[in-house]
Amino acid sequence: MLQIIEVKVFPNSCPACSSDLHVSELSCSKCETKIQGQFALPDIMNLNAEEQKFLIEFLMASGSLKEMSKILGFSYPKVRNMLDELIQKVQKLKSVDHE
Amino acid sequence: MSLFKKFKNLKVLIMNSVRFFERLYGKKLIWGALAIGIGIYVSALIGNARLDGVLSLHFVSKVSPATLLGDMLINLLSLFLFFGAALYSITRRIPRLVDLIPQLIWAQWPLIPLSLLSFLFDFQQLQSLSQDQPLGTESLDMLSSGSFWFSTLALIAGIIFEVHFLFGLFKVDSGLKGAKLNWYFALSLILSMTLSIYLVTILN
Repeated sequence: MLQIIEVKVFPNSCPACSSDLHVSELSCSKCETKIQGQFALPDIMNLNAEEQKFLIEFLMASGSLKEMSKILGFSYPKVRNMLDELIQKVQKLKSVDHE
Repeated sequence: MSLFKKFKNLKVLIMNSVRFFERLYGKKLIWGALAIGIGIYVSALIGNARLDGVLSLHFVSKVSPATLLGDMLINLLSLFLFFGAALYSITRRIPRLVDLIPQLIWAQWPLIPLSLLSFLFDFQQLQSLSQDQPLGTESLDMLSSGSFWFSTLALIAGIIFEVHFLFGLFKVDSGLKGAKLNWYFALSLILSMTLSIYLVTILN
């Protein structure tokens, strides 16, 4: 039987109060073992869907901004700015983690 | 080609022309800049326009090809020097020549139609008439003509467009926002204008 799995958008922040989220339960997809606790999300999961997509594409383009401008259809300086903004966001997330 | 496709191509062309600093890269940007550079040169030559400074355009009785080429190179050099210096001081990275130089040429595309305005209105004749007899009947007739007002408004609009394009490329290339962006841009533009006018004056 064909099972249709609904893919939901992964939330980055609480839809009620916009605070950061953490993982409280993990379960094995095979034996359904459940682990409960307070697990922090990796930095990449704190980026929004668009930023995650940019990061993956940047990786796939071997870190070439020239290639990225071809993929995204934007000028080189614009792609450079997008990367700079992403770097700033990750730095901010890291500084929050250290605190 | 269907009408819809033609319209779509036209829309892409217009969008690329006005948002070139965001949309164009690589060969498209470079070949486009080359075409625009040649376009400005040819139209200024046939329209007898002197581009004697950044954002400066004067109609003369006859412009020589060498003078015009010199004017264009001085303008590009002045823009490149100050915009490049400003971008370096903001980003701490040397701007890529293959992006900055073609973008600076693209930003000047309004000069193509503006240089041809002398066919619509004889600015040169008005200038010589005003020098002989400031408030003569002939000068007043020329000033009250529709073609004078249309040409003047088109000139102002063209200059505004050029400033807008230069601002757009500066914004995208620097990644700055707010008051800092406006100050850096205004300073770079004023310095470029000053240097270009100074160089054109001393080299004449």
